[in-house]
Amino acid sequence: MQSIRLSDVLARVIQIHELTDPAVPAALFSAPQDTGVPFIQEIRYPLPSAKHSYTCFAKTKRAVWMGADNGLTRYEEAPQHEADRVMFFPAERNLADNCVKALYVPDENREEIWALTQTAVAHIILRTLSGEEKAEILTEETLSYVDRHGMVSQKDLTEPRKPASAVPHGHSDNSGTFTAGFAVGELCKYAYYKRTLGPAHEKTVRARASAVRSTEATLLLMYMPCRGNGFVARTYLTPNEPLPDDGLFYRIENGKAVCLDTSQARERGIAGKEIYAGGTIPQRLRHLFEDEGYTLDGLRYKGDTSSDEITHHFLLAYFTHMILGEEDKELDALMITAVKNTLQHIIDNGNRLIECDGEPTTWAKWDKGYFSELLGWSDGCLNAAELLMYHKVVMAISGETGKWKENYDRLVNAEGYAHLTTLHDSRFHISADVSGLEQVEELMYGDNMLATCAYWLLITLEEDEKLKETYRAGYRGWNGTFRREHNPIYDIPYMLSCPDDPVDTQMLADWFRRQDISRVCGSVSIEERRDVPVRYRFGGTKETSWLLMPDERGISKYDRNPYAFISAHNENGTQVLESCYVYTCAYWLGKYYGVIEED
Amino acid sequence: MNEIPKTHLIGNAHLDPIWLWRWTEGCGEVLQTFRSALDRLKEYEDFVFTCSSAAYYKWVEDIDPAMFGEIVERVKEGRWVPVNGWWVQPDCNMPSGESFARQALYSQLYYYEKFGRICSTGYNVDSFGHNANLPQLLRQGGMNAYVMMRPGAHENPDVPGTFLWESADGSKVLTYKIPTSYAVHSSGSLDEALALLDETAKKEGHGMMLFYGVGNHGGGPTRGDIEHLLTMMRRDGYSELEFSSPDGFFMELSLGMPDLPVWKDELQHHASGCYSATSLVKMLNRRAENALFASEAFATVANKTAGMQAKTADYKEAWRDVCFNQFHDVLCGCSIMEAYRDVRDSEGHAITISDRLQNEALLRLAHRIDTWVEGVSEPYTETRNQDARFPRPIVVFNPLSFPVKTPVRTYHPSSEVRDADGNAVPFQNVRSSRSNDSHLDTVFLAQIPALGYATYWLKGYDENNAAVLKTDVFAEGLTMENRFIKATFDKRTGAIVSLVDKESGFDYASAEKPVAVPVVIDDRKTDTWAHNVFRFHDVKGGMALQSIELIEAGPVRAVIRTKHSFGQSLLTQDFILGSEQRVLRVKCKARWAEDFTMLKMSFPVTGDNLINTCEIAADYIKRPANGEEEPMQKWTSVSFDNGARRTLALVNDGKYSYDCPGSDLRITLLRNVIFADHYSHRPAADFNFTDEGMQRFEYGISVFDGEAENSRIANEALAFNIRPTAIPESFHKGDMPQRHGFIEVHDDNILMTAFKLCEDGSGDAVMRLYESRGKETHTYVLCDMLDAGFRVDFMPHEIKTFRIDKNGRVSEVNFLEGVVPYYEE
Repeated sequence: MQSIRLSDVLARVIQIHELTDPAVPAALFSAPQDTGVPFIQEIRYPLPSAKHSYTCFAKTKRAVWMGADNGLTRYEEAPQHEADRVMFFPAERNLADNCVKALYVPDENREEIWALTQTAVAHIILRTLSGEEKAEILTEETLSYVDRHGMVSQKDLTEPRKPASAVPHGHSDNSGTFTAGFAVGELCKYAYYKRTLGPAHEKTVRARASAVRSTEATLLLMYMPCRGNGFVARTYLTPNEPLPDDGLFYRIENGKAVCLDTSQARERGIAGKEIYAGGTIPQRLRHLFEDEGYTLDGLRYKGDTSSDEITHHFLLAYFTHMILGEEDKELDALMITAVKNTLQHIIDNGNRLIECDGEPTTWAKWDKGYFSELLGWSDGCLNAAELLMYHKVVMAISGETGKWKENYDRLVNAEGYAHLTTLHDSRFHISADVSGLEQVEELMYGDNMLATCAYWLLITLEEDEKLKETYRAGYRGWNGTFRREHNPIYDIPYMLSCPDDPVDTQMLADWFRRQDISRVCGSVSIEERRDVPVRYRFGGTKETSWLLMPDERGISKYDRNPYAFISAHNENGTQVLESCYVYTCAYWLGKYYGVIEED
Repeated sequence: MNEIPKTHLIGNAHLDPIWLWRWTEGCGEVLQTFRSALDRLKEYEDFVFTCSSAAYYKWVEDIDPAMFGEIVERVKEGRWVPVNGWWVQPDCNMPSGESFARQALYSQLYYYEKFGRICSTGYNVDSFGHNANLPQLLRQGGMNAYVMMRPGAHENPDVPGTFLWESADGSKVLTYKIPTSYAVHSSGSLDEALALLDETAKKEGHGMMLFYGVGNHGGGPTRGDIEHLLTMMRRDGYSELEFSSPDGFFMELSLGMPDLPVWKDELQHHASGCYSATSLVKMLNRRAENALFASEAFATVANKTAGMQAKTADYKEAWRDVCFNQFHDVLCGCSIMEAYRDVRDSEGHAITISDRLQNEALLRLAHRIDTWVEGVSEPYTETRNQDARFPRPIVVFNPLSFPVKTPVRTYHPSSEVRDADGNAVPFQNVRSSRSNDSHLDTVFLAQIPALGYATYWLKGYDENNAAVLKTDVFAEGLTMENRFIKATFDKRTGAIVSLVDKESGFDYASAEKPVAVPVVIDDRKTDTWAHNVFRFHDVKGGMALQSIELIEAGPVRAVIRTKHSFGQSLLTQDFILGSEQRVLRVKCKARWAEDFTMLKMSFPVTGDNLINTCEIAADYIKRPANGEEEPMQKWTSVSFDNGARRTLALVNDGKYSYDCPGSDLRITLLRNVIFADHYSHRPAADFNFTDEGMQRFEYGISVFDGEAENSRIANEALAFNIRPTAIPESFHKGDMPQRHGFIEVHDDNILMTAFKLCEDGSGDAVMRLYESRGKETHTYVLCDMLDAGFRVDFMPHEIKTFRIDKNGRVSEVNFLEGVVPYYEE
């Protein structure tokens, strides 16, 4: 199998200073301005700004830095990594504004520069780290500022670019999904450290604690609704957290739960509806809210749960069992019970996750009725793979066969679900055509991750070689949308599942190298870049004509188009902090499976 | 899935503008058919008429504007449905990728201008085969579905009926293969077709299309046909019938959520003889494609840098001629002889436009180059360079997107050649084609940047004082070699008995298995198309060597000339091995007189795991070496295992057919059969033959290790076809250097097929590139004259079109250049 070689992982460390900040070196203000860049014509490489618009420059030992009115460019004539030849630093992610007036390099032996812009000063340092150091920095940021009762999704910031200003609340519709992804990474980290450093090593101990906490937090969502039927919550809020008008929320009190008054609840006609919540939450998991002084009564959980959550919960269940199963039998048992309950719920309800009104949730349908609708018809190939995967995970971690096996075999043979997993590409194409779109425009980008979870585990757990090949064929049907992204969270599982298929490991290494060490969001000025053509898709979607490095495109989870040709200012500004799992899950998976090699 | 699969009734008229008649008659046929269709639309309120080919609409618009106005109204009503956003229904194997782009560009923009819409369905119901890159070419032209008919089930039973067709880049089009005929008419035939379609619809679970209407020579649906179908609609026992269009069919098919088979291959074969019959039209097609590429690229440069007016209208006129002559019955060589006189004239028209514009562009550019030499008091205009005081500047232009190093000829002899930096350049005085004055031309080794030029200084001829530089070329006896190739010829047969790749040391030939062996094939049993014949293996005989001699052995090139005969026919081949060239060029002159024959050049190899790789439109394809006659474009090859992976490749300047029986790669050079001989019904006559008389063509031989697509063979083939142009200049001041490239494309597997001005008159430049080796490529393009530099990712096999505005801002568009909006805003 191919491996990803990581070396010289870069990190942009950037601080924005006010113009009057005494920390700003005075030499910056006396640096020459509007002099042009004398050697610019000799640069035979596309630059983000027009050559004539560069007005100031400064040299470090390795590179030349050039300022223009649309951002700051760093050009390295002989870079160790081709992807680093040109680096671009635009507002607002890297600068306060794009109009660069002057540059100052305090020590040309260091990749450090001060950039004076119209409204502020940016102090930029390029640090070289190991992949692991970057993972640790990111994890620290997430655990310190994003963690909410053990869940990690995102937080709003009260001050731009300052993680420490994160508000205490801030849920996400997919807290379970994102936390499960984070937990898988933490589990792999723990297993890797345990294998390489030993169980008593400080890093191992810390990794285990983090892995257990995030796993428990995810698992808690499977018990939280207390409906006694395996229903899973998307997320939950403590009483002091504001309730958004977004989806269905239930407030738990005395063994009952009341559906709260939200737009969706009213539309669905269930606002105020009281339902059973007499199930119990295992003591092992209650500490997550009790330690913070809360009781079950008064907690509000979010329903209308989607297949995204369920699929990630099952992925986590598999890793929990594989990595912690032997040493934490209590957690393992809780996980096994939870996934069995959830799968039983799905089977009992005709392959659907059912809300309190007896109707399926909006996005958790794995039944053939849904598959015969136009939307479900193209969705059905992924959903079929998901449902089959749930069965395989339950059988693998519980050791039970019986009814699970019987149902799995029925789905595979009589219901045609295995064949269905192979039809994604063609169905998806036709579906996009009907909408007048190209496939990349039709895609819900989060589906790439769902397909990864589903097909990877199916291929991993299936023992029948013929079926395994069927699932591989289905997995390959997703490769068209995976492969253009060069995202290791898709490609590492793909490499493990289809080891003979080519993957661009250099691009994957660059992906790791060029992730920022903070997940503070901030839009980037792609429209201002002259080296980035805009690509028009049939349906009008605008994309970049090449895949920008992660530190030069918008920060996002795995649910956004990395080619998005976004405008200069997005709604989030620099006041949102994302979880780090995008990096850490991929990184620790790679380390755990021996796919990543570091110098 | 539909519970009651519907049969969509597609009223159409198959219109061959040329076939067993000339274009003038075809034009009349179009007018008559369109009138008839409009009348039927008046008479039957549910009737829908479908018609392809923008060229036909243009004829009607020019000749009968009133009738065209009626059509516009019917299109708005949705009852007249234009399909196939191409100028005609071309042959779908031989036009280049750029030709398909132009088919779409000029047609879809025409449709958009006249009807406010473009065609979403591609439609080539009679074309004889369909290259594997068509899904991408269709989608780039704004189409997402395709209708075709050949090969039929008897010719290739593996091709599904309704399927998703996917090209190597991943593009897909919904495709419908007509199971009956594109021109069903009369009640009996309609009944028979409906029954078949009904049965198929029930079996496959989705609707079908019935193409009805008198066709080939036009006609269209008759009252009788329509009445009969109306009667059938009222009867039970058939699936639902509906007057419809291909667009309607495909939309309903998609909404029916069908699980269709996916086809990831080409669609072959129907008429295997068509890719070699009538060499004239093939050669003209290639020449026109090549000429227009070079001309338009330099006209764009001259527009941006040397004051040349935009000539988009002229290029459109020329390209439309080329596109028209790519009509399947024309380019396939199966029309009547008289039609090819018209073809020759209209291709000549296109090439003349191209050459005139190129000449203007090159002279404008050349005049800006600083060629001033101190001591020259007046601009020198002496053309024969008799005065030896000053060397003469020659500016050599290369239109390709990669630099070239190649021998270039000028029409006078020299005693010294130097480049712009004063370095001595290898040259050689060679026998000219004229019998006048010195009888000598100069051939020198030029190095020219991508889409650029280089100036060379040629000193006047002095018989006693000619500098000779040592190079890699060496020739002695019947052996010649350069740094890449060493070839030895057999004095008895003229064949090559040793062909060594000097990089690997592997010898591709031997005395027992010589290569470059001319073979005459007996082709009496086939018709012009070679219907139902897919192999041409009946060897009539080999050609006898008349003479062989080493005629040139200089530093720039060595030449061995062979002359062979067969019956009354003669073949002269000049094997030209240039300095630092990877291709052994073979310049051929055949005086052919053998009726019912095919001439092939045979290159048997020795090894295992043979596979043929050849160029198709803007891509390549790999095929089994199974002996079937196959279409190709500028190159074909055979790769095999023998110690390592070896490849022998053949390039050409106007041939489109090869086969590979056993391990013998054979390029088909001539096919001399009766014109328009349809299923060989041959009452006695003084027949005319497709390739009789004088034929001039070139092919080239290249050998290397590794798989063909991993090599530079696509570049070599392009350079073999599109050669530099040398412009003799005078002495003058200028603001441009003596050597300059106007673009840089960083990776040479990314090939440019067009550099032009946008059709909307904005002055924006349009550049089209494609990935030629099946390799994902992260590359960049620099174009200082447009103040543009941009990076771009190519997926394997991908074609990309860029539009560069006056400020150097770049957008990626499709073949329609962003002139047609992508969606309704």
